[in-house]
Amino acid sequence: MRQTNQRRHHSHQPSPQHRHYTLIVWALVGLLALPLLATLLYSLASRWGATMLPDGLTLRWYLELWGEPRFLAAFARSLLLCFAALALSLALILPLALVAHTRWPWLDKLMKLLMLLPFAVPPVVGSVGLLQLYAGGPLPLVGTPWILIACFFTLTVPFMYQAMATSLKAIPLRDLLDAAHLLGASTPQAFIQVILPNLRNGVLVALFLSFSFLFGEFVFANLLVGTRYETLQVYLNNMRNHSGHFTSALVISYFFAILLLTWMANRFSRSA
Amino acid sequence: MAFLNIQCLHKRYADQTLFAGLNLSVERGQLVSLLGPSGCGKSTLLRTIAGLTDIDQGRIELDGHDISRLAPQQRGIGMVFQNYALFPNLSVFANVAFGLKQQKLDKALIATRVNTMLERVELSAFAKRLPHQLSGGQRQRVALARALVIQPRLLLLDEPLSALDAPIRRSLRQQIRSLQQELALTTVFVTHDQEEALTLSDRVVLMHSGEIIQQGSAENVYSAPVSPFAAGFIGHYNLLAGAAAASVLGRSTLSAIAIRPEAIELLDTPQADPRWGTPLAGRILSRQLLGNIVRYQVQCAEVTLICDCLNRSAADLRASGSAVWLGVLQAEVRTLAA
Repeated sequence: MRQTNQRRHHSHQPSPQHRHYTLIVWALVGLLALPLLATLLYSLASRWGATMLPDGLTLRWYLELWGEPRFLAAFARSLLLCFAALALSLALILPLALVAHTRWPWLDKLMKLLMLLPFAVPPVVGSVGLLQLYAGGPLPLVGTPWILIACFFTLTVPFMYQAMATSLKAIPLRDLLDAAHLLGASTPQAFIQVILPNLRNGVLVALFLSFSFLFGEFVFANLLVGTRYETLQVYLNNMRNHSGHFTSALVISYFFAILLLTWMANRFSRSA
Repeated sequence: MAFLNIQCLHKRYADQTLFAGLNLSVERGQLVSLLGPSGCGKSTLLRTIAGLTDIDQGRIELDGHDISRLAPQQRGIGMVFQNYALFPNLSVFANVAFGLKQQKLDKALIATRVNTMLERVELSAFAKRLPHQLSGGQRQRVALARALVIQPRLLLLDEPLSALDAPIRRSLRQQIRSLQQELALTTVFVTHDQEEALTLSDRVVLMHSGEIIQQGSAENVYSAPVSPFAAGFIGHYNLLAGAAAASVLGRSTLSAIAIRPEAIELLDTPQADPRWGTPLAGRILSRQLLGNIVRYQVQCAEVTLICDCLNRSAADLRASGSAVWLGVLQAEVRTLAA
């Protein structure tokens, strides 16, 4: 027993090499966190001008920010746009991925091509094209949130489809459906009870990844809609001439929201 | 009247004909093996019976009712897949209960039936585990329990043992057979392993290129192959034609012949016997030890023959290059259709 304990204790001793790796990882984390920590400190500083350290610490900027109706509205608009785009994405891509992996495999190849488009066309170029298409004509969508929802949807396609395709390829889909059918389940029942639970992890990760990406989207939001439906990033841009402390509090609040979501994503995927 | 009756089954896939008028019947309570090489259509035939693959023409009757156009859910058929097809997100209990839940049975009844079935396959202690926490043999037993618990009219087994290692395969084979006999369940078993088919089945159906080549009891199919393919696929028959066949038989023949390796006696002296007539002189080319059997390759004039002998003792083993006499048991020589 003592031997076992000794061995266990011994196995938990980090090797010198392991310690080096830990040091490198923490050094990188520190380096990446430095701008964020500086922004956090600036957002908490009452005044930070000609001195090395701030004159004092205050929550004034946060109180001012979270009491500002224009900020709250922009925050809500960003959330709404993200949720709408993700709901659309889920509603369209999930059935598509299922069909592509059960009935029409050629759709999978087509999707692999389409997935490249959001990366192949730079947002600025895409916006100019969309502005020309939708500024007038039968669908004058420029300046409305609808164009952003559709646009955000296209940005989520690669993340969502790839996550679903990977999850579907990881299971013997055909046999699982056949087994469920022979046990009396209809195709929708088989999808809901057997296939979807196996996609849950992949889909959740893709959803949160897409959300973080869309929540920080600026180019499309600014060029296609701008102040007519001000999102969080557009609001941040418009407030750039305001107090630096105030915008720092905004950036930290934004990061905190994303952090919260990432933590939730981890929790969900671990419990799934 | 047969319990399962397949009449004039036609199935084409793209430009390939899979079945052109296939007929098969299985009696109630029988275990029938569909035996054949990969791509011969045995799994496709099983899927058409289950309703998982459509048929172009023909009729499939189960217990006197035409089920050809019924959905898989309505056929009352249980199936075990080669890769188990267990639902990864569900526990062993939930996997087995799945079919009963679809029937909307009472929860207490579901629990009783699932527990009884898990006891039968000796997996009660694993009820809460997920499929990935089980060994291959345990997973296949869960799949078997899941297929049996719904009390199917017909059980289909699609190469259920091929992914398992030899000792587990043997014990599971025995378990399948005793469950099938205990429940008197009509079963169709697909395999490419002749040993599996011969040991398990009431009847063996040998298939090749979408056609049934031969069917009958295991003894009949093994000892009396009807074609060169059947002789080549079952056992390690010596297949001879023309001059080679004539030299072994000692008389001319127009048909091809098949001789089982164990129907050739290895003799030290050219002793004549009514069972084999005049022995043939030969020389041992090679020796293979297969456990209880020793397989010799013997050159007899222009013909190379395979002979199997019981491995009684190391002293009886013959060295490569040594001269021997072969007595071919005439009663065991099979004449094949062209």
